[in-house]
Amino acid sequence: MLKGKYVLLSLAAALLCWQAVGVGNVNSGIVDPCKSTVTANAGIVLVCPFGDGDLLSAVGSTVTLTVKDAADVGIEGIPTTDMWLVGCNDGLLLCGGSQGSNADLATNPSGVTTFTNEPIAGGCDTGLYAVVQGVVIQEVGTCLPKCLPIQTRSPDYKSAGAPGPPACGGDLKCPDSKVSSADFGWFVTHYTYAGHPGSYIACADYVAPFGGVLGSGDFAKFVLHFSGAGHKCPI
Amino acid sequence: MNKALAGVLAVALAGLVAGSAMAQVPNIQVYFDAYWTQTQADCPSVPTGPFELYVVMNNWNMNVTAVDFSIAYPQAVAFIGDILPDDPPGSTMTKIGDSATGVVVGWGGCCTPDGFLPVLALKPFVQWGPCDCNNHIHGDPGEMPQAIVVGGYTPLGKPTPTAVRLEDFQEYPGVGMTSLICPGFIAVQSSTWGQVKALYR
Repeated sequence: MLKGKYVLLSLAAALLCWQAVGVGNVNSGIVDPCKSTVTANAGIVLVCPFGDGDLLSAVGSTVTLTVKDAADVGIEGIPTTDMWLVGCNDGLLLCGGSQGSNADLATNPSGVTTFTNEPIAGGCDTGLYAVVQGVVIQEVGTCLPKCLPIQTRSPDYKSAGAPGPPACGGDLKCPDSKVSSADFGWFVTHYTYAGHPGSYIACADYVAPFGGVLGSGDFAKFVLHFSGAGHKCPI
Repeated sequence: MNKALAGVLAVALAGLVAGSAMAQVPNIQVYFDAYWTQTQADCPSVPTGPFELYVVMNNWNMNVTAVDFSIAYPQAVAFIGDILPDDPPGSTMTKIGDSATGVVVGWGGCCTPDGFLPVLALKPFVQWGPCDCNNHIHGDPGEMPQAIVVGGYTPLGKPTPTAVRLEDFQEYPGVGMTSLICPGFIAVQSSTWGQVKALYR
């Protein structure tokens, strides 16, 4: 009887020791947005609600995300659907919600994953946030939201009205997840043609060299998404 | 007088030799027929109704997704409007502007054109203006021949036509070609036999 107690106590002590030694490698599974990191090179991509825009990887702006917990330990196995990109200024309308910009794969044992695809979206924004389980990844040190320097520009900038969002005038942004005549009309207001000096707007500048005036390259890229029935969110 | 004569001859010669000299460079040419063979035409003695011209891209040797240019129409041709040919079939074309003041044309829909072959970019709709192939009164605005000249997209100050390559959306310049109306006219000037002989003394 006494011998049995000693054995039980010894096993319990051994278990405690094992846990104490291994505590540094055990994660809580709770994302810490201030310990997690996200990085990407600056870039400019065209995004389309149909999903055939410019790959982030194609312009050298693949996003690398490392998800960590409060103990600074990478969290493995976070599913792709729990990680997505959004516009830093709320300027993107994602097709199908967050699934329009999910990560490539679940996080690996180090908590790392990537985004090589551009968001499937309309709108225009000057940067991207990475979001994990609803929390925006922050800047390490300041613990402020980290805006990646990836500019996104879509030929879907305007709404054609009902049944979509209300139309909006001038350069106000109101994407409706489809590239329509409303978008073409807006693009034309910025394009230079006889008797009409165009006015530059970055959101319609899809092709390098960027800046200056809109050119036939920008027009060509717009038309590819506008022609026919116009590209739209398939969902 | 001699300068005017030389000018008319130069335009006529340019039209005659342009076809061969420019055969290997990317160019845009206006044709008078649907088979894209006639770059010269006589105006009818009796005015007819509106008709189409054919603006064709030759020798671009790349996959094209847009092109911009302008066309200077002479007095003999009155520009009415442009028709998008939606060629290749199934494609949907879009444009900004018109050929007389500068137009940019883009392809989308099912497909973009194969620029390794001639590509029909636009069909300007025109009708004959004041035109008399026998008019050789120097200084007369209706003097023949007259040229239809393809140039650059003037609103952006481009000197030559440019086309956009599908793969990278970069612009490439080409050459604007000249087509002639009443090319058969040979300029003449009155003289005496003595004056002709004097040229060879």
